[in-house]
Amino acid sequence: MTFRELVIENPLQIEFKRAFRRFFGVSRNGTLNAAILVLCVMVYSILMLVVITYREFMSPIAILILQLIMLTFIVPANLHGAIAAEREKRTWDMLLVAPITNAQIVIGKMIGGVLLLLFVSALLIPATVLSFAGDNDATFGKVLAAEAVVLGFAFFLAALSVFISARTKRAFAAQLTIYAVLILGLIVWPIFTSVLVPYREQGYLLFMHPYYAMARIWDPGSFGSMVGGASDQALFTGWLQLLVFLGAAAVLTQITIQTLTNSDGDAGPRR
Amino acid sequence: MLEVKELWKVYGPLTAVKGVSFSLKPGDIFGFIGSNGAGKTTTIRMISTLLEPTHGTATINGADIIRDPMGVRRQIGYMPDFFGLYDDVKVWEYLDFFATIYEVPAKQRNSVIDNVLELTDLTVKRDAFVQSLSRGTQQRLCLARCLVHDPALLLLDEPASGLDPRARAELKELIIELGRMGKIVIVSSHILPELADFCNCVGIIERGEMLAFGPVNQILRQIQPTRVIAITVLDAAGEVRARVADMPHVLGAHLADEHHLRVEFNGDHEQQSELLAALIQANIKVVQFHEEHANLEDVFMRLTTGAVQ
Repeated sequence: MTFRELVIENPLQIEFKRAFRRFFGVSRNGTLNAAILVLCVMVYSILMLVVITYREFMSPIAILILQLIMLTFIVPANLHGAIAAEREKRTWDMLLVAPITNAQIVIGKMIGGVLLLLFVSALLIPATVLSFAGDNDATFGKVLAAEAVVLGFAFFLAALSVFISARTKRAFAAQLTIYAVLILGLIVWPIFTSVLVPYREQGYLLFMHPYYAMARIWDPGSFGSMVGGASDQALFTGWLQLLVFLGAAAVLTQITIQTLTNSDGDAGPRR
Repeated sequence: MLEVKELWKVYGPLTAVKGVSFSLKPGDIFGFIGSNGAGKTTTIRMISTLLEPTHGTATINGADIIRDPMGVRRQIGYMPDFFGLYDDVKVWEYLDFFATIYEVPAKQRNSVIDNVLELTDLTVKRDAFVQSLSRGTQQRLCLARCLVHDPALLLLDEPASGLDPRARAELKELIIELGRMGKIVIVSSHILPELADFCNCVGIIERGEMLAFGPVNQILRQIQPTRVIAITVLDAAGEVRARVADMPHVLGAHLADEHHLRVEFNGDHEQQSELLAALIQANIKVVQFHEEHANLEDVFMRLTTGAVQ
């Protein structure tokens, strides 16, 4: 399967047109979606106004954490129904009997989510650049490393969302499952770690926690000493997190491709 | 050419399909008959490559569903019993999407879409959003989707379910036209009289086993080898019965009720007219005299027990 077949000529690019229509076209949910879009534009404008006005008190890490929070919600919201909603609407089997490979289906579904997360990230670049003025410790290297964590995590989340979507029959169930996994990983796991593991060893168990990793990358001194030492600081490069997240995303995507099933839960003859 | 060879599908303790075999040639319209849960949909889903058979296989023009599923997919159009359509796309975009998936060259796509829209009488709906279409029109759009790549085999699982009488009649005409175009059409349905109208071949399945397969007339002859003539008389049928039973080519005469007889007869049409003449010459007052034809429903009821798995 070539890059051209998987991405450039992937027929599932029709998903963009559908998503575009949901916001700008005349459809059943057009008005509500248009209202949501207007709200998003207003929130973004306010954010930019705040950053421009108070840029001397801002730090790029605040914008990066905002980006991470937004992607934590936007990516699953966009991709939870990638496959589960097709099953629910009974369009799934018609796609599976077509001469299209599992890889084309899964990658095609992910392209839309990945483009959206890149678009949201791009929107926040001006705010990140402007907020440099308020943080003397901010360096280009730190911002890039933190951005690597954010994007790596978002890619992983996209792959996780499609993976879970491929295993559920209802889009709502997929969404609940994804948020449950996020709560376990982002909230329960750090609590569990802080209660049961000594301070000095927590960094090893949390080095893939995106919020924790960003804090350690941004302020290794204070945060490192706060958690009891900096022996594990070498783990928090940002690039290591990016590599591990991308690796995990690739593995999840591969598993999704290899275990894709029809609406009966049967894989059918191999594709 | 479709050849289905010994298809089996086993789900744990349940055997959904037990060694189904049949073959169809271009132009055949095959009515697949069976109760709910008999194994029709499972068989169709195995042929469509959605389900992997536990044993056996099927080939479509040489492409094997196990060894070459992609080759099979390029040659089939599958319409499931329950299907959905994408929201927020127009009719032509929906067809264009599937034409792209089915590798219809970009230059030909517009004309292909126009052709299938015309064939399915959807030209006026070209720019309508699919969610705005009625159930019958959506059914036709789904059929149009199956046709964009000019498949050799169409698998239509309960295509008439939920359609009003007019939409059903239109669908029937369309299926007949597809048969004329040389496509193999497999139609599963519960509406047996309709199937008899346009299928040249039927298969009856129960509990995963194919009980009968072949041309409609052949199957009808199998279950009713002799002709049955219904006779209504003014006199008491009981008195007439013995006289009729002695007439030439009559194998048996049975009382249906006080004035009705059912006669098993092995003669041809000429001998049938001679029987009527003989009855009248014998001063039997005949009110009605006609041959009773078995229909698919009779065949189905005779062969099946109604048991499901």
